[in-house]
Amino acid sequence: MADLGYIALALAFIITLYGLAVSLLGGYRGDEVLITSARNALYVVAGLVAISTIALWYLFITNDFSIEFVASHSERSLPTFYRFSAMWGGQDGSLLFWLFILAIYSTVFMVVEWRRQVRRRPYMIATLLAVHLFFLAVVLFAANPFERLWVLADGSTQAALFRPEGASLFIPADGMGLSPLLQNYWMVIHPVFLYLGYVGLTLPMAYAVSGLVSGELDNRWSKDVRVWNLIPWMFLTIGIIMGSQWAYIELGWGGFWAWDPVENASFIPWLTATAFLHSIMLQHQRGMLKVWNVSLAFISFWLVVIGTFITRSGIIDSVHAFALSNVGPMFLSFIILSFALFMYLLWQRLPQLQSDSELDSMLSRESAFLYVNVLFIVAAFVTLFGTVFPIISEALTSTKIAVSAPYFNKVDGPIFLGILVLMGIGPLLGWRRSSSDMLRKSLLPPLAMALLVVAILIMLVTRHWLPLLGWGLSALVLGTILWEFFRGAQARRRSTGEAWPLALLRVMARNQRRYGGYLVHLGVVMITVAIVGATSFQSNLKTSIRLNETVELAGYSFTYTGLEQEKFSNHDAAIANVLVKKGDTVIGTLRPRMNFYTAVSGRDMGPTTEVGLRTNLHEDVYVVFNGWEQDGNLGAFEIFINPLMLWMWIGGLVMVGGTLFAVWPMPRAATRRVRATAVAQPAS
Amino acid sequence: MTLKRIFLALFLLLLVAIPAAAQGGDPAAELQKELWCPICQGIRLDVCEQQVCEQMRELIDQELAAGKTKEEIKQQFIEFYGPVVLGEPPREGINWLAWIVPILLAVGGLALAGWMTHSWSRRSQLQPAPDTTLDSATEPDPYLSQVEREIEDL
Repeated sequence: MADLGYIALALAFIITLYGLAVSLLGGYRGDEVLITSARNALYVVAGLVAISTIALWYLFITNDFSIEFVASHSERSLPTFYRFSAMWGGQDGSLLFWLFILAIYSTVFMVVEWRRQVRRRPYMIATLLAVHLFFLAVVLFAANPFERLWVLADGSTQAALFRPEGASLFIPADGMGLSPLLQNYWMVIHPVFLYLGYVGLTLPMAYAVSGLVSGELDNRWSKDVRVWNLIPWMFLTIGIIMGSQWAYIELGWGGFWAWDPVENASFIPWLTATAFLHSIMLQHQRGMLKVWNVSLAFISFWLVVIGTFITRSGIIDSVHAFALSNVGPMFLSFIILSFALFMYLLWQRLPQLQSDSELDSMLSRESAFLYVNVLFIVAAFVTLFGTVFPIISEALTSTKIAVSAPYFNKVDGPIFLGILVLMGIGPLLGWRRSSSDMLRKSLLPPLAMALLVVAILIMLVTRHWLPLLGWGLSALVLGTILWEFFRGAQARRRSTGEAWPLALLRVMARNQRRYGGYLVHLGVVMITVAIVGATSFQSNLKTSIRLNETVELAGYSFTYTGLEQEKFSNHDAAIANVLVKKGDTVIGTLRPRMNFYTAVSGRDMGPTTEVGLRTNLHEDVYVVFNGWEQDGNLGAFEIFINPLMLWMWIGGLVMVGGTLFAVWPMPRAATRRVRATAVAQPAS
Repeated sequence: MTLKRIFLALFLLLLVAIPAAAQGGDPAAELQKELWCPICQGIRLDVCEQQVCEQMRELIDQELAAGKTKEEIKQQFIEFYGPVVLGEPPREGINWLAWIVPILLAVGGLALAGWMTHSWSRRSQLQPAPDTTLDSATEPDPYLSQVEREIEDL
């Protein structure tokens, strides 16, 4: 099986080279036969990558520990469920998995775009194959998951594809096990969504690059590329939110976002992809920002590669880890080369990328989009800068510093507040030109709502400026969204006389993009409310509780009622029972636990904790069990009350729902009519 | 206009209320929230499980009891463990870069956007461009225009 996987990869590499050459030649000569052959090569490569991925899964399922990657990331007692996810538990497998998702995306993309983009298609194929080529090269030559373990003549072991001279195959009796931190259901699906988001950002890039090469630079792409950006953006959003959910329940520190390099690596391209999905609307509506859009489509992809480089090369932990494998240098070369190539293509086409229209007024939706774009991009680069700054500082001063939450909160915080302000004002501005009088009129209700909310908060909840500002701006954005829904429904009612709910639904269905976008904004508001609540009003208590004794925190009482032991296939669990009451009302028994993994890697890591959690719309009761003494008569706990946390997950769902609403194909009579007119009168 | 009056009243309420915001609390808890684990990445002192953090927490209590100020204790930790305990780059020497670059980026970016909107709107006033964009050619949206008209009528 390992041989099959390896051979499939090697074949894919060769066919990719062929397809790349043929697509470029076909595009250059306009030869349809060559272009079709290149497309078929792409499909074959995708099939081969799929075979290779399935081969690795098979090796995991069948416990083939002669394969180094399997032996170091799995074990016999690992549940089947986690043997699947062990694929992305290490570098080599995750790069193959990346390639697998790229192959799926590329196939779907070319099937859809083949007839639609006749001029672009040879270069779309070439771009996709070039990305394939890079990742195939990395997997084949620097991070091959199919390497076997060998015992050399001198008794030492080594991982290699082919038998080193005089060596014999080494098959360990059992594997080292999967990192216990990754043995959590969120860790099974969270990386899948993250990769779907990450890798998917290749598609807008392929659109942009193929446009630059083919010279098809009109505004049509702004409409066609939208879905290829929105879908990966949605997956990335899900991936990031699931990742914070994992951090919340698995790491046992009461928080959900640590600004560590891995998290930042997923967040940075999310910021630029968000900027892109706003700025592309400017090109769609007004034919503006052509250079900007093409560049953003590339930069999101580029930042994905940089993020992978930062997190996978080990450069953040230590500059020295970088030289230990070839992965780092290969990524670095690709980052530099792809940037240079893109800049060259852009420079060549610069004269053809002039704006069709000008800005009519500085006070318009266009300028709001422009400012919000700048803020997103600044946030992305500031976060990137902070993430790599420890390396720069250590290299220059040889003193280690940490760049964590205090830094990012101070630096990114004001930018996000600025984005919230624009989220509140931007939608109220009209395209082309808004008079300040008109803005004042439409801003009044949302602003009044925000001030009312702040006044109520001051009277009932808090007087600290930070939550007041955060929640006040959230209220402003919420007011704007509700006001927009109200005005839309009202306008429809006036012209059709429909009832309110029907008018609202109809107006939303007629303008999916607009109202889907507002739903996404609504999700962002919920998440903001949750972040402000959980960070500003968290209460926590670190304490030891004797058996059957009680501690109190924020109106709750916690009684430690006993310790249980449970055995699982690859770990033992110690589970504390904690009875939670609010006043005299029993809320329930929470069962925070400690897991002791039996595999080698688990023993290295020490026990992991899994929190006991009681969640409702108001607040989370979150109990971490940190250990026990005296045969369980004394338990060590850390208790958190995290206000409003549930809204973070609900907000995430609303964001996803809004995105789906915006892109969902609706076969309506009205849509068909519009299409028919568009076909009859093609855009000039 | 009544809305304006409500607006003004709310605003005045804010002005009165915000300075009343109180400060203060437990200095040990505050310090634990301001310091970061010297060995793990991005874990705050008050929630960290490492032994070194346990010792740091005990030391904070002892030093506070001995009458040291928060700042003195912080300095003591920085001298012992290095600037890592701050969780952010110290504001000195080359590390100032970490604070200056974001400000430059933000100011530069916003200035660029300001310059772009300014120069575009000036050019368009000199020479009105014909509207040849996709949307207005293929998708005139009666409902959106209705919405825009409603705004005007409001």
